[in-house]
Amino acid sequence: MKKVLAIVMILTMLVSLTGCGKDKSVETNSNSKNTESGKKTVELNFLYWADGVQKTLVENACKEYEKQTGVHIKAEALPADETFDSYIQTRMASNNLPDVSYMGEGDMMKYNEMGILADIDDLLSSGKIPKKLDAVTIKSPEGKTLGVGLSNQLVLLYYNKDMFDAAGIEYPPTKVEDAWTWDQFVEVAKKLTVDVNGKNATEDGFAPDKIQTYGIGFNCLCAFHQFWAMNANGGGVVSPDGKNFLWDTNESIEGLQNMVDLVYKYHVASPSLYTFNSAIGSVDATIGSGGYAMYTNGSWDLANLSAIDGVNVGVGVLPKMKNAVTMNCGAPMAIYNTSKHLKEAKDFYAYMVDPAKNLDLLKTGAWLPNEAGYYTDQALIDSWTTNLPKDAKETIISYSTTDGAIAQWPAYFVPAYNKMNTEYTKFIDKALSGEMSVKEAFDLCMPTIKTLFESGTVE
Amino acid sequence: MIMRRRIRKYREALTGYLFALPAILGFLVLTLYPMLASLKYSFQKIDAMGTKKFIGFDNYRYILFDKSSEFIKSLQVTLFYTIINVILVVLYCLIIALLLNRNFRGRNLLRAIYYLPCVIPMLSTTILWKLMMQNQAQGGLINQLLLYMNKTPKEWLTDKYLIFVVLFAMSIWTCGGTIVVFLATLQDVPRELLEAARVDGANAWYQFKEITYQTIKPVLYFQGIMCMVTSIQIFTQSVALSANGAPDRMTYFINVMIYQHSFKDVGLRGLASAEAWAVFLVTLILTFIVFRMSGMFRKEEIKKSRRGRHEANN
Repeated sequence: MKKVLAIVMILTMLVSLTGCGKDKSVETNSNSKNTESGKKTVELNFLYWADGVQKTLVENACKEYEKQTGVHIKAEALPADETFDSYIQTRMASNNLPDVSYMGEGDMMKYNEMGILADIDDLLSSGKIPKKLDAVTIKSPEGKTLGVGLSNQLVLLYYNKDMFDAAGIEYPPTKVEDAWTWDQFVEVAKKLTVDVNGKNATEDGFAPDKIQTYGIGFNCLCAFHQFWAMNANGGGVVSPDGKNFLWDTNESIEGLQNMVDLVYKYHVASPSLYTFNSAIGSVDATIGSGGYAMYTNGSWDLANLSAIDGVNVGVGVLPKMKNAVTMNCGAPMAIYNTSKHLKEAKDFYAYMVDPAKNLDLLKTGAWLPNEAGYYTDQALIDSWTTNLPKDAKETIISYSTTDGAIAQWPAYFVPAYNKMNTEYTKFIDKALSGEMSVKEAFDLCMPTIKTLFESGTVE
Repeated sequence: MIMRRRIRKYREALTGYLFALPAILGFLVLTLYPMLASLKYSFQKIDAMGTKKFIGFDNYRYILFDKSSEFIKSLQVTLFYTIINVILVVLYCLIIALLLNRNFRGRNLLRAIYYLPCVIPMLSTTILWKLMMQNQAQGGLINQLLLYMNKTPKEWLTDKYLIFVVLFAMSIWTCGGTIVVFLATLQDVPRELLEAARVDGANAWYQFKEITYQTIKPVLYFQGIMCMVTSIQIFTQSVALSANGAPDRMTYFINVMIYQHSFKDVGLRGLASAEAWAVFLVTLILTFIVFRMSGMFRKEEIKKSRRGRHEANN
């Protein structure tokens, strides 16, 4: 009996040990695969994150592509969170990178510095990929085109039309050139901020510590959610050519201070911190619940508008300080130059970044087209805007067709952005919580951040 | 005969070891090896490509002396959270367990109610509390209640001190497991002693101090140490609330920092290993102090009975 037991134990051990070994059959990445007829077909490994609609769309697009070209696509869907980049790193460590993958905005420069990203300039110059918006085209400091964003997510101003009607205030404009000045905006926010006794912030006896409805809420004040204010005030993080450090300029400081003042000076906004996780929620939870009259968030929230019952939500352009701008993000796709089938990978890439492949996402507003033609060509405009509210459509097109109205998130083109941002994160809450002025907080961190910028490298 | 017995003995030992083998291998491969490897990494600089370079004590020097290192602040907030949390949790659980140990109707229902929250994953708990504590305009229940009572709502989640109220509240809400352990231990308290004390006219406090406390002391301290270790490892709550230690790095606990350096930042994996080892040493010292502070794994009455025997012998 004991003997039998011992044998069983040993067998179990052996089996579990082989489990640790590398399973060769899994390694099909970018290898040629034998089809039934014995002919060799190319297989591309494509890594993306998605859930719900997006996953179905990507799967359908891949199937369609296989049918058209005979190239086999091994698509792997991962959850849309930070584990994605860890997964890429694991694959890199085992010399098993995919051919094409999605990539976090802030990771492009990192992988470029490692020299594993392919230049896709030829795809754009040959017209294989039609002209994309400048704001979603990612260029390396040495001028290589590393990828294009799949979507053109913009920061927009959402508002509760009913509250504007009740207060007798005109709706926010939908054209970049008509954007409210900052003073106009503050005035509107004051009128819409109401305390528990029904008094608004312009009236005597207003109780700033017992606010029932805030005039304005920021989804959060992390990264591009606050950088737009610096750009709007003529400052920014880094100049668009990536050469000049603008973060510590007076314009940037004043721009951000304007936003913080909305919370602690005018008491028209609820506090927000430098983290995406403590965001105040979607348009549904903020405007939909009646707690906020205006609210800034990315255009992806347009997809939630239809879920809101009983509240009329409008969309308009952000106010200006010196410039009327918004800021964008939108995860790019990248090709790895380690691919054994670079040509096929590039063809597949051109196919996948075509907005027509994501039409269902564009129609809801969850994504916005990355291609210039989709904002200027009437037939193309109609293909995705029919279900969007009129004001949302006007706002988006106005931003995307006005020169310089979309500031590019520095994560796209500043190699040192991530480490600059890490340093910034250590101090900026002191300003956002009203503990000290923006100037004082910047004095603490900007000298270090500037040296990090000057290093010009990711690491 | 002896030969045979020896063989049998060996065989028995072999079978024993074989049975233990999975656990031993598991420990070697999954615990000991990673620990030693991280000790090695802590003396290296590991870049994004995985290339390792030996840099001596530079990582340790950085975490202790560099002004942009957040190790000290992170350790401070972690220890602050730990100390208060251990005291709160142990006291709270003890009081609740003592109350639930009394005879009254609905006792079992109440026991279940106090235990229930601890089966909910910490992530869900955090999201739940976040929804409750957010500001009134977003529909935060607590703040709406305050506003309804004409009190000033509080910024629980964005204020750098009030955030700890939320963390402690969640910790207390989920400590049902400890309550159950205390309840079980309270069953060990000798009833005849309690009764005898009562007959002798001892009051409730004296009964608790001299009899109940002495019996449950080992478990009390053991739970305290366990609570200390899990408090030092606090992670989920902070990440679900802010991910970057907001407000103002007050929830940038040691594990959050190590995770950030190891898996999110580029080229800091060696530093993260050094931080992990520094924390390991701190935890070790703390545990040692708590152990020494109290001769707590011995029951008081055993000592007494020994002394009794000694006296009897005399």
